[in-house]
Amino acid sequence: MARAFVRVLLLCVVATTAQTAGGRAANVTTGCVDRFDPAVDYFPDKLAIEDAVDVSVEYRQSYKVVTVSDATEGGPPERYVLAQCGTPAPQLTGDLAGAQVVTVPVTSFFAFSTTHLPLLADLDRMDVLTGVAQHDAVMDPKARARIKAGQVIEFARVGLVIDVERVVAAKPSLLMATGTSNATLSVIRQAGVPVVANSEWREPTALGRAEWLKYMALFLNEERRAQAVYGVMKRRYRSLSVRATARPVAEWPLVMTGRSTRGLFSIAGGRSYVAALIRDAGGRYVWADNASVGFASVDLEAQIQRAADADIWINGGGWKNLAAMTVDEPRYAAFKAYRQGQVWVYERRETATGANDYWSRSVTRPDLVLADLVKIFHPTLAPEHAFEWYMPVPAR
Amino acid sequence: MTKREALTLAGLVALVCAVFLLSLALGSTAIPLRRVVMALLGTPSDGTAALVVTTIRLPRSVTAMLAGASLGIAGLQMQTLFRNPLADPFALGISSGASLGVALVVLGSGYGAAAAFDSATGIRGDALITAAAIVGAALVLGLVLIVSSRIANPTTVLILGLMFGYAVSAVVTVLVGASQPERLAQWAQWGFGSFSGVTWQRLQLFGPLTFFGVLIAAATTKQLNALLLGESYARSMGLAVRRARLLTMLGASVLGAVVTAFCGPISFLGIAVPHVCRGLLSTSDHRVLVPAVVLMGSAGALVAQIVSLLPGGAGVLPLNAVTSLMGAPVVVAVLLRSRRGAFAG
Repeated sequence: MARAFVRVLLLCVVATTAQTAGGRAANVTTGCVDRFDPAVDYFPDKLAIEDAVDVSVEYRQSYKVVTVSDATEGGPPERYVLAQCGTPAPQLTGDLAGAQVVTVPVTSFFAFSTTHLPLLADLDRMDVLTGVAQHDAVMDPKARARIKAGQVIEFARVGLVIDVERVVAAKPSLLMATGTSNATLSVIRQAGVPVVANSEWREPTALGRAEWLKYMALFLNEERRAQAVYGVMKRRYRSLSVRATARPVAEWPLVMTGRSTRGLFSIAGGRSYVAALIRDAGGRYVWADNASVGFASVDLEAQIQRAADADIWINGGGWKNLAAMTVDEPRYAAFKAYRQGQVWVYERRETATGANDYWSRSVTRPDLVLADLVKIFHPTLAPEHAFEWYMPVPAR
Repeated sequence: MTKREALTLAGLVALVCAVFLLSLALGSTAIPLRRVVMALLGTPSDGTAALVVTTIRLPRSVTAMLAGASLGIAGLQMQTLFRNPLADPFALGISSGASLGVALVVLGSGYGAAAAFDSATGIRGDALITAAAIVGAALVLGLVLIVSSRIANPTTVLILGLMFGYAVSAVVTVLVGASQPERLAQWAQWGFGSFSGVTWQRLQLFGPLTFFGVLIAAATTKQLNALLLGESYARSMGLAVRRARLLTMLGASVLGAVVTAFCGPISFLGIAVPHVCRGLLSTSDHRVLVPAVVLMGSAGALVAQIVSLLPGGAGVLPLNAVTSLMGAPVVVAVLLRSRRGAFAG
């Protein structure tokens, strides 16, 4: 309590000095500071993490300390020191000794996963993108334009195996990976290219996943924009969710997920963000008591016992029409949702080559995913919403 | 047939019946025995329980029996043919061929294989995987048969099969290396093996194919016995060795290929079951071994199916892992206990 108070007091003092010292009111989002003044807070715009559980940030005068708790499977948390360009390197001691240092704002950015691109798009900072794993996997129009202009190199073209020499030769100011347990990544780090993890996909809620937008913003000093973009999105999500969950429980449909391969149903885990979305959209998930965070596999028999009477079936996919579904797996007919044509997939915006806009954009727009689901579960609640990704599997 | 052999066979029949009933009574969800019996007798009862028993458990158990019998027989034929205790139904690269077919459609859709197949046949999902495995296995089988019809030495044929297998596996590895994670997950799942994907519709194809394969084996027991004593001896007995060899190879390979296509790779049953039967009966006479292997294979596959449900809840162990874990100690025990060695006459 006392510590928090001191910190607030300190922040006030620092803010005042910053104002008086240089009249600086915003973070430096491009370039460096010319003259270092130890009394100045170089990050007057700060952000707070509200929903994500795997990332946190602390602000110091000329650097930020970012902690990613799930950077490696079951490993200790990783801490990154983000130092303002133009300020002296911070003296790192204690548990920060040896931490990955990144100079911010980054000017050239390598994205390992396509899910990192919407973060840049939402911050309107695609201009820093200089490397992606594979050109073909990119759907974002601005990123595509940069690829076309020859401004973005490919660094894991064959089999998503990182080409170390290409990365080190290009010397980007940051490489973002989905985790950092890979041995290749430590080689890249030792060669002087900063590598950080983005474990957005482990978050248990859709809002938590979307909040990793702020994580990206930390490296770009775009705190102010991230806070605003996320805030607007979250308000939309919350207000719709409040209306949906206010419906009497008797009106909440029973919802099942997934698809069967050789008698094994892969479903969304009971603690996954999908399960959280179903709940927030006013639906009852048949596997709500399941303990898995990501996906889970259940025997077809168990799925039939649980979900035979489910009203709505979401997140399967790869089916041409309802008739083709039972050709593939005749026992799909055991599900009421199938017989009533209530099978919904997120393939409205899928290209002929199988690239799906859902995967690239839904991460930062859970409000739109939620709106789609609410329209499916409670059609009267969102009459003017036009489906963004979801569509029913056609009868034929 | 000696009295001991007759008794052993009768015991095996009883064992198969018992395990078959057990496999219908047990599943990932609890259904009271009374309900199971009612569902089997066709008595109208609670819809879901009946549905589970008749559309999931029953076809799964029938598939397990057919697959187990097929793999056992194919293993027996290959071991006799090559006079090698380590030969199995896949010794000629059959399962590698099936893997390649599946890898091409599951992993290689970037190369247009799945898309081309899809638009040409309209087949998708599990059916597509089965079709791809059949095509892949048939191609490798055809190649091996063409080559082996020109080569007299069976050991050379065996080595050729192994080399085919290595080459094909290398191509699969290249495909795996260049794949997206979600496709890899689907590929890995194929490798687990499963009896659950064979529905009544698919059994209409799977059943006759395996049945005829086993029938070929049953009809050629005399030739197999002769082959066991060496090819020159068989020839001196008036056997058309080359024809017998090709027929046996064809029968065994088709069995291996069909099972792999429908159930995925199921390892070890093919090696283990013949050894267990030889140890149990202390004979190498195929007139006794063939029925014994059919029964023991069925029982073994059913037991593996039941064991794969052990995790409880809704989880399942990979069938392929269960057969290996069960099979290996059994073979070791049989080999160590059999004084004369499993391959002695």
